[in-house]
Amino acid sequence: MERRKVGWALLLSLVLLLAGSVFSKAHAAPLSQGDATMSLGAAILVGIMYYASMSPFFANLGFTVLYRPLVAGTLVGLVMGKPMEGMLIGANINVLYLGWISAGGSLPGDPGLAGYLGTALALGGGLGSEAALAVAAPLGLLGGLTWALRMSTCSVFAHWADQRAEKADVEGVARMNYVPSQIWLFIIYGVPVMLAAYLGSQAVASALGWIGQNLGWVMGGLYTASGMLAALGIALNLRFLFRGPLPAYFFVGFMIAALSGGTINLLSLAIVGACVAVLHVTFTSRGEESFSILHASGEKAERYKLLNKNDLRQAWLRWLFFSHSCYNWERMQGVGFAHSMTPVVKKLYKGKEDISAALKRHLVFFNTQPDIGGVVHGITIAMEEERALGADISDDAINSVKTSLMGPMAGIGDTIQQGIVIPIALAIGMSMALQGNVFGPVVFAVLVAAFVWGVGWWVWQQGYLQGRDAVTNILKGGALNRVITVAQVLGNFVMGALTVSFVSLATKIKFTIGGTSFELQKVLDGLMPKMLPLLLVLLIWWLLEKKKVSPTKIMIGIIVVAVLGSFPIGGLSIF
Amino acid sequence: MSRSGSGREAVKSIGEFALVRIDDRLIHGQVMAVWIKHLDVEVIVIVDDRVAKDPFMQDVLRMAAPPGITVEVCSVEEAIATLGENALKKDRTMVLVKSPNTARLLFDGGVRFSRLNVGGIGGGPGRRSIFKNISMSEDEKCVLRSLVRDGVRVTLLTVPGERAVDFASMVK
Repeated sequence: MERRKVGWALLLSLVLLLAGSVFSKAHAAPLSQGDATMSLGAAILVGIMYYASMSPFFANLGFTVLYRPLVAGTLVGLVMGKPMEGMLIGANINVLYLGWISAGGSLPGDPGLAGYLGTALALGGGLGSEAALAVAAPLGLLGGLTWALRMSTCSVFAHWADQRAEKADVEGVARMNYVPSQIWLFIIYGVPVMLAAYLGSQAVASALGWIGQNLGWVMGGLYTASGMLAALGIALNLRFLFRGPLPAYFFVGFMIAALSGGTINLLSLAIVGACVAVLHVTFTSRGEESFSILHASGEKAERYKLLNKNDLRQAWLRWLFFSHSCYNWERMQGVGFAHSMTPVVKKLYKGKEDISAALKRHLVFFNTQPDIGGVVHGITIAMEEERALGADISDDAINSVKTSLMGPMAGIGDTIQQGIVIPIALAIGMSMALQGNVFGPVVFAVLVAAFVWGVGWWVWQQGYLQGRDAVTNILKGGALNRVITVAQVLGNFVMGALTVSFVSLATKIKFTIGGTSFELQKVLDGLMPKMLPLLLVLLIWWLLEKKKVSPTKIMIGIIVVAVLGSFPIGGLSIF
Repeated sequence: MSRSGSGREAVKSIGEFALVRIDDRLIHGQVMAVWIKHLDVEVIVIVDDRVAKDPFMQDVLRMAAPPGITVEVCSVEEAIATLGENALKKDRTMVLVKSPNTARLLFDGGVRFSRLNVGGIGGGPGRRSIFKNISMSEDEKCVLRSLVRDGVRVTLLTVPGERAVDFASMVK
């Protein structure tokens, strides 16, 4: 059944590519912009970068940083000799993916594809940052096809790893995690994007050139659509942030930014927001609780008997890099888990049978969130050490700790990392980018790295040192929930401000009363600055949250409304 | 195999409960970040004999739930006693079990549901992948088929918005 889907995906991309190249041949009208600068070399680099963003070679900063359109756009811009334009396009595309969460191996749209290919097509096609999102957004949907292919085929490599485990080949299991899977992923991720970037940018350039000459209003519609799609990205994030009284902070953030005419620096605003957030939680909590998530544990078990801190770090590094290297629907991160255990297995077990059994034990189905979920690995390593020392710990005991904890830890990890840390860091980076500050993507990367590396390593060690108690100690007393609430208040603040800087919607409607003509937009501006963007965000939030309309339907709806609304009737249009 | 429409339709008419779901990871990202929001769930009832005897795991599951969500853990027997016709807040309750067998036991014990969501079952000995991250043994397939025969609509769906597949049309 998956095979059929994959077949369709391949067929579809082939048809698109052919149509693209035929179209570009047929309409090779000279472009006035002179922007079609996509050389074959640049296209190959774009493909490699898209693959890299999904590859394990960046210490978990691939998926969390390189995969995000803000960074993707900047990198593509660098390759194509227009870094500032690329960064702006990337920031604009990224708004749509602010509330994007991939949980448990599901992938709702592909920010990386929208970021790399979208920016390449927008730059190569001579499309400004204001209209890029309308082209990139539909591209993001295509990414799901490659994802389905990857998730169903990588299971094969897990079976190859099984064979190595049978022979107690520790290095072989490790290799199966990243050698065949990465060659395969390079082919299915890198190559199609190289071709699409190369052929597509010519097609996009000629298509847009033709549209620009013959259907000027459609171009206007694409600009309008891009400004409106940003509202969808913000509204998607608000689904996680609008809770209890917290929306009030969204309006505060919005009003401060709107009244300052959008000139306020978001980093300063975020600091104000953080202070307000701490006050909010302090005044709404009942006294005795603290923010500390470091609880002294009762009795600390004795550790580091057979293993030392370096073994622990070696295992963590393998997980940090290669957790999703061979991600597949059959075992999910199973091969990645076994790979991370290889330094421990080598140190603890000497007999061939023991090694083989340990490898097989950890090649089973496993799936968690890589940073917070690392506590499970810590606990597992401690159990393995005790087992090697002769304690009566069965396979079943180890497996049951892994399978029972991986879910809850994933839930917390996804909420914090994908739901809070990345969106807030992105919001700050994107706003800096919009003001032309080249450090926008850098600040974003540093903030995410601090969390992914810092928290990841801390949690991993706690798991090893405290065993199962680490989990209850981290969760105890609701401190975690208070930290989450602080982040949600801050998130509301920041999303309010982002609405001002990224969502654009203005109307051209004019009417005449008693001989005096009114421009509706001026009337609205007189009431409240940026009123239409705010209303649009709230409308989309309501559709998502209360009417359960799918984001894809809203996306298509926005593009249709924007383009049709730009159609001039008697010289007048809505937008 | 047929498409059974969007996740929302598949879910909305699940009997009285907001959702009855088979997921061997119980509470995790998909449940916390997506389903709870999507269905406005207030109570999660985890039915599992093993977890019901494990106070540590109960603590973890309770503490892992987002603010405002109540997590109850009970054995199959307790579930049959409390989740019957007169259970409170059924439309705001999500019932989570780890395996098809538990779902069957609940059904036989009088905990009725007209729809059953299969969200994730990991691979393992005797289990083969049948759809995405859902693997099953032949026995487990039989159990689900028997539920289908009893009028339960069994849908394979990880999260709303993804493709849903009707189990009945999948394994003929």
